Amino acid sequence: MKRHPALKYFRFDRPGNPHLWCSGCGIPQIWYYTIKAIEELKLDIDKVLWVGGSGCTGRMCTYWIGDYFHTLHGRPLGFATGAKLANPELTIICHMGDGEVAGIGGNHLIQTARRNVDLTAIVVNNFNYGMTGGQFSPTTPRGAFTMTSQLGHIEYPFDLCELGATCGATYVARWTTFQTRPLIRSIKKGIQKKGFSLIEVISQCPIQYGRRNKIGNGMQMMKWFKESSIRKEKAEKMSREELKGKFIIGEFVDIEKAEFCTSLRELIKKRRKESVKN
Amino acid sequence: MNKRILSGVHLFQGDDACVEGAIAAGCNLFAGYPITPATEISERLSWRLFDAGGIFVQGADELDSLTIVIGAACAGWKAMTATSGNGICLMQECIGYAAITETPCVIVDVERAGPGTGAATKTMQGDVYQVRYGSNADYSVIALAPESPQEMFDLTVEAFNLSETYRVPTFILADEIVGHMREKVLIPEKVKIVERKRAKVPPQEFLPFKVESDTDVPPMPAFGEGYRMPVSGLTHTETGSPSTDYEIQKRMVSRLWNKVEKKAEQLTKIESAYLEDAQVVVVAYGSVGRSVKSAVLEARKQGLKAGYLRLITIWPFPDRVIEDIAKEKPEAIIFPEMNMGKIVREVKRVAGGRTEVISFPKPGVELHKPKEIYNLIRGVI
Amino acid sequence: MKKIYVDEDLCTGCGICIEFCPKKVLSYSSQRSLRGIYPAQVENLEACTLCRICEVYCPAFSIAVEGEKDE
Repeated sequence: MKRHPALKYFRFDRPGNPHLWCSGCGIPQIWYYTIKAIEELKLDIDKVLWVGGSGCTGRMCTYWIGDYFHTLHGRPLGFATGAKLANPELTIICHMGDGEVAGIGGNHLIQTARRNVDLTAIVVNNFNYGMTGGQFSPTTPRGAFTMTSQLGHIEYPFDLCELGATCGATYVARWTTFQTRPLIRSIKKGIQKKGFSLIEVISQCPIQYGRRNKIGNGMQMMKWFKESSIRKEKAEKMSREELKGKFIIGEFVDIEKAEFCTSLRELIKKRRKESVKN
Repeated sequence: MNKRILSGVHLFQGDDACVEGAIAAGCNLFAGYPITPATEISERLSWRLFDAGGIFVQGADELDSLTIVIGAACAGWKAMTATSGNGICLMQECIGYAAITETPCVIVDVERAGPGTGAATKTMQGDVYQVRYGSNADYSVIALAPESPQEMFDLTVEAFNLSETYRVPTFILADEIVGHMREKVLIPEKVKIVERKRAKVPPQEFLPFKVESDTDVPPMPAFGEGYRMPVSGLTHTETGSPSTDYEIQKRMVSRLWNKVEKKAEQLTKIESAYLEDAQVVVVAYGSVGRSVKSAVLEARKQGLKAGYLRLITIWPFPDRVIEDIAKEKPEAIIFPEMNMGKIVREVKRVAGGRTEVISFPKPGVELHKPKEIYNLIRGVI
Repeated sequence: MKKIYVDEDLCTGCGICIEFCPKKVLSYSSQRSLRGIYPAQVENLEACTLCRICEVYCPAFSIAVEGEKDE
């Protein structure tokens, strides 16, 4: 029996068979897309650190065969910044949920983007807090049904890509779990970019979000993604009405600017030069 | 010239001496947020640490700071943060995380008057329980209380060494008076430095949390060294696998507790005098110790049999030392503290009614005057 | 030599591989697996072009494709 190629990088002595995610969930798909990006870039496994926080997305790092950092809810970016400062040779990939990155972790997101720390942040946006039973999050759309918006959600959601771009991220992209190849390409670009990269992935949470909003199971949600995804170039020519309920996908930002850890290390060199002069 | 050890005689503020102690001990990363009365630590490190080849980061807030410190420690560096009581509150979740992941880190708490925002520029000894029991559930920490800028230097070095040895968050509990006073500080040519245990076996044979006993501390490879470290805040087995099993929980929590608590005697650091024939023993820690020493010396001059004990190690609490005093059944133990009476509870617990324990609380802003303590001693004898 | 393996121990019957295979190579088995669901099965191996969409989309890591495109 030939095994699925993802299992080569998998820790089996962890909960679930082989993992704890629901049938049809987008998270294991994103797990494998990350693996493919690492493989295609031929990275040294021993230098790739996966960082996660809490919840279903937080568990992604615990199945990775290399070093992993399963941290506190909302705070992967802070811990990752510390690790990168101490060892700049590490390639650090942070997987975070929508609630985690835009709610409790909001400050870490805006600060890490502003500082432009060399990290790749992959945000799994499934529009709710899945592991705790499907409560609404800062990206849940208005009108949606969740366990804490059982009368219909009244809050406005964040546009995570706009948020990341405003705060200074040097690479920002959005795809859904359906657009495999562009997503893997973006993950590779994010890893190679010397700066903060934010990749939002619209992902299916069939058991909580999909079921409560009558969208369907994992397969039906992916069909919905396929039908509702509009490329950024096309969306620019469409009206707000036409774009209602659609996902605008593509690359939004791709710039270069001085990176945080490098700039700090320059200060060490600066002090050394100054003291030599004295 | 050794960039790390500024050997020689200096006139340093407590906060500045703490900085020099950290750098001498091998601290490579500091992340902190400005907060009175610890801001001076951040300010000095913002240029001094680069001198020594390290990195200073101003965190976006206290918990950003501690997450960066823990991240750097897991990637192999010695790291520190500094704050005051209200900042420690914000860091509590991260402190618990450092405890369960057994990440070495030093947290300096320059205590100020509280609760809440309190009086930022005034002293207090209000955080003694917060640093020990502030996070959720059970774990252990080490906390040292300096009384002078010299001790700020010496104990900060010690804190790094203890943190690396026991793999626990280690606190410097300096009240604001100690943080801001200026005194002579002697920095030696060499400083004793302890590094964390390295793995003795190759990666394929390495089990991250395998221990020989329940006071054992496992070795700590860093990220990127090929050991594929599973660092997680979940209750875990010796392979780092998450578990909800009672036996695993019990084994893990017991070891996190016992690795420090059972070593209390070895970790005890005190300063004492005139205890052999003391009818009254005055106990204190931090800057209150200075007033106590004055008072006891005056008492002895007047022929009163008073003795003093200054606790330098607050946690793990030195039960044995108090036991030895209580056994002799002095007339009273007097304990002046700059709070409503906190560590005095530990003394009462150990004394177990064998001697009267008198708390002398002054809950912030003002230090006990030697005369006040002397009068209390007089009142007993 | 192309072959598709479905590990019935891991397959959760989500149907994603069946739905998105461009050549309709896969279908639901009529036999429940030990997990209590109808797993995917290979219906028409001939039609398979080794695009590996089933592999890349599988959330249960239960399908594996053998064979290279240029064989």
